[in-house]
Amino acid sequence: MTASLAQSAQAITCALARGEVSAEEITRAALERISARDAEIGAFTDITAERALAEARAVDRSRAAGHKLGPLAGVPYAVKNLYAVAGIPTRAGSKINAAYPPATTDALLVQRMQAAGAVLLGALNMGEYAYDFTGENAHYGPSRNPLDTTRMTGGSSGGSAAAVAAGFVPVSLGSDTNGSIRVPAAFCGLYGLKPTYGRLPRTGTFPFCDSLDHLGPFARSVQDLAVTYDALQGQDASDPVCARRPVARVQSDIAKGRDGLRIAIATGYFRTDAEPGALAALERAAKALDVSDEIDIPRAAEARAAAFLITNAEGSALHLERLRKCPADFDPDTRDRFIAGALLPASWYVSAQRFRRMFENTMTDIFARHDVILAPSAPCSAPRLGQKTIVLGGREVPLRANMGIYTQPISFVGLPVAAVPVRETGALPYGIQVIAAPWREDHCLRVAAALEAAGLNG
Amino acid sequence: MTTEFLNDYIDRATENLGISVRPEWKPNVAMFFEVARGMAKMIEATEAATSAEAAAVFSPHASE
Repeated sequence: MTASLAQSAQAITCALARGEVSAEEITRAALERISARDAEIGAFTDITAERALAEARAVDRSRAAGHKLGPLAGVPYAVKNLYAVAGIPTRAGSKINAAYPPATTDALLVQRMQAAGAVLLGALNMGEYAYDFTGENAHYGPSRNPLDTTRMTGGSSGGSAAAVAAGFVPVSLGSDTNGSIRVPAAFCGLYGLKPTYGRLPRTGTFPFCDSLDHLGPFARSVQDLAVTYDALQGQDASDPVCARRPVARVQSDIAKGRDGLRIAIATGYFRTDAEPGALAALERAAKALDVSDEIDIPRAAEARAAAFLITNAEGSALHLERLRKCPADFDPDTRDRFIAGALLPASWYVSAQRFRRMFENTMTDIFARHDVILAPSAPCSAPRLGQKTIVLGGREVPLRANMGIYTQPISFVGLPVAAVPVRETGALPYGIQVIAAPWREDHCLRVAAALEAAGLNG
Repeated sequence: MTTEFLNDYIDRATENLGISVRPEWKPNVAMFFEVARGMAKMIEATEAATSAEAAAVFSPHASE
């Protein structure tokens, strides 16, 4: 019984509501799955078993008392280890932060998941300080792709994707600054949501780049993604970026599908350098939606460049004191980029912020004519662990710098994106970005649900 | 920018910032700086620096 419930939050809440299973049984089964296989996968850095069982028993007591259960009652989940979890250090993928005192309170989104009845199983592996597209980590080892453990999960939310793809938990939380939800979702064959910049409060998470940091969920279905996202919404004044907007629940909207939505396929920059499988996946998605309109987004390459500069400069400023005190304790793959970023002239950073406004105006004009744009999430499927270069457009290029070429221009201006997997049976998956205008997560998830219903994920 | 000039810039700027860079790290630091320089050239060509408001967020809050 519990094994069949491992994949779906919706199935868990339904079974729990019918009294077919207890939250404690669900939790124990999830902990057993982690114990049996996580040494191979490397998804978790911290397992909060005692807390999980206490939260599960609280759900069971609430049900026994006849109280109304939350929308995620009894659903096991875990969070990228940059979310504060009371009692454990907020590693943010680093050795340095692991030596800091444990968090005393949970991140706000962890509090909201608990309020919705979800059960926290632990904290998840990630690329150091989120400066990563691979899921590899010099301190804690790589998170391995459950679809093929010789391959990368993608990053930086690698453990968040691995935990869901391995069936340890049906949902997880990650973060996305330049593609860190969308790339791992693509490589691991999952759904993910990067909401509009400012939609979800980042209170209690370890930052990377304030101008571009987003939080969001992973799941195996659009329904689970929508329920989780709805549970996370709500403004918070502690995060100065969090918008003062009303909650806009999406769960009841996803059944509307694509009807009435003007959808276009991104061409130009977003078709350049992708390997044939990534372009074929995009074509399959377009065909399933009966979409033929195309849009060439101008200056997407410059948008990616500006996102690179802002990330490099802000991330380096954040870590400047750590770079002074203990540079040798960084993961070498992040340290040298942070040091370089500390040396950028301020004019480069300011120009990138000015270009951000210019590109926002470009996208506003485009969304006056379209509701949704489809684009690849990554130029390839999951690379092999340890791989340093990749051939794109006939050229061998550094892998780490090029996994985000299609995601960076989109998060640069904070657009909401649903990550949707497309997979031929027996092959590695590719990912599609379903991109909408600011604050229209409902459009993203309606189209994601239509693609899911079309059976594109293997 | 010549390699010699870039290495000199890295030495002086990191010293000014108080960051100790081991010799074996320097080629990577230089490589990443060069990548950023290329990105900055792309942005400068858009003329955004003289024609657009910066997007940095700042909202004054009244005391309540």
